[in-house]
Amino acid sequence: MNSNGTTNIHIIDDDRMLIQAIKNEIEKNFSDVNVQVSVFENGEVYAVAAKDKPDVAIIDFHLDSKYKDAMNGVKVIDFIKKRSADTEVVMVTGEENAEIAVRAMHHGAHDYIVKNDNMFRKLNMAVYQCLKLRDLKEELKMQKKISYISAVILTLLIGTITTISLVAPHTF
Amino acid sequence: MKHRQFIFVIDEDPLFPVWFGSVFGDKTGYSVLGYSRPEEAYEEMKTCNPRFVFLNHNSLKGINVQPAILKIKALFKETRVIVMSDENNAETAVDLMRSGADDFVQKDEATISKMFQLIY
Repeated sequence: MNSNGTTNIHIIDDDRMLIQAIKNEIEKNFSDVNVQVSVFENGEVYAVAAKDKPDVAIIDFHLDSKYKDAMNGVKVIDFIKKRSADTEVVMVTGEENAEIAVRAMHHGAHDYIVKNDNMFRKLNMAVYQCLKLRDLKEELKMQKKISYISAVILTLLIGTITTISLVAPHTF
Repeated sequence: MKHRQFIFVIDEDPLFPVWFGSVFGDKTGYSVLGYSRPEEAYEEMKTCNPRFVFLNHNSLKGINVQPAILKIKALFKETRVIVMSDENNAETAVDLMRSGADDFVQKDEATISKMFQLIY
C-alpha cells in the first residue's frame, strides 16, 4: 500500500478489451482497499510509463500483437522484480503451457492463470492472496523494526544500569 | 574415493528407473535408484541423501504427490525434487511448484535433453 493509502495494481496486456474487463473486475472486487488500477499495452510502454511501484502486477505472456520483438511476460516480471522485489505478480495468459508456467514461477510469479471461463474467479482469488501476502510482509517488517528498537533500548538500559552500578554502587 | 551421489526415481513402473539409470546414470556419474512408492524411498534418503528425486506424477496412481514433495523438501532441503508428467497442465505445474517442487518436466520428445540440463 502506498503512503497515500492506495493499493496499486498494474495490468500489462496487449488485448484492450480484456484489459478493460480485468480492470472493471478488480475495481469492483477490491474497492475496500482503495485500489488504483493502471493499464499498459506492452512491456516497453510499461518500462517507460509506469511511475509508481505496484503492489500487484497482472501480466500477459504474449505481448507482441503490435510489436514483433516486444518483451514477453517473463521479461516484464524480471523488470518489475528488479525495480520492486516486493511486488507480487500474476501471469494471465491464453497459453495452457506448463513450461511457461514453470518459467514464470521460477522468475517470481505468484500464480499463473489460463484465460478461460474460470479466469476471473481465479484472478480475484490470486489478487486477494497477493494482497494478504503483502500485508503479512509489511507486518513482518514492522515486527522486525520493533524487535530491533526493543533490543537497542534494552542494551542502552543495561549499559546505563551497569555504568551507574560501577560509578555509584550505593544507588541500588 | 569419490563420494557417490544419488538420483532417486519414484515411479510405479519398475522399468522406468531402469531406463532412467541407463540413460543418465553412466553419463552423469550418478547412481540411480528406483522406488515404486514415496514411502519406500524416505528411509533410504536418510542414508543416501540424494541430489535429485524424480517423481513420475502420472504413474503414481491414487497418490497425492504434494505431501510427498512437502515431506522430502522438509527433511532434505538440498535435494532437488523434479516432477515428471504426461500432461501439459499449467495449473498442476503451478500447484506442485507451490508445494516445493523445484521443477516440472512434461514428458515429450525433448524430455531427455531437458533432464540432462537439470541434472548438469
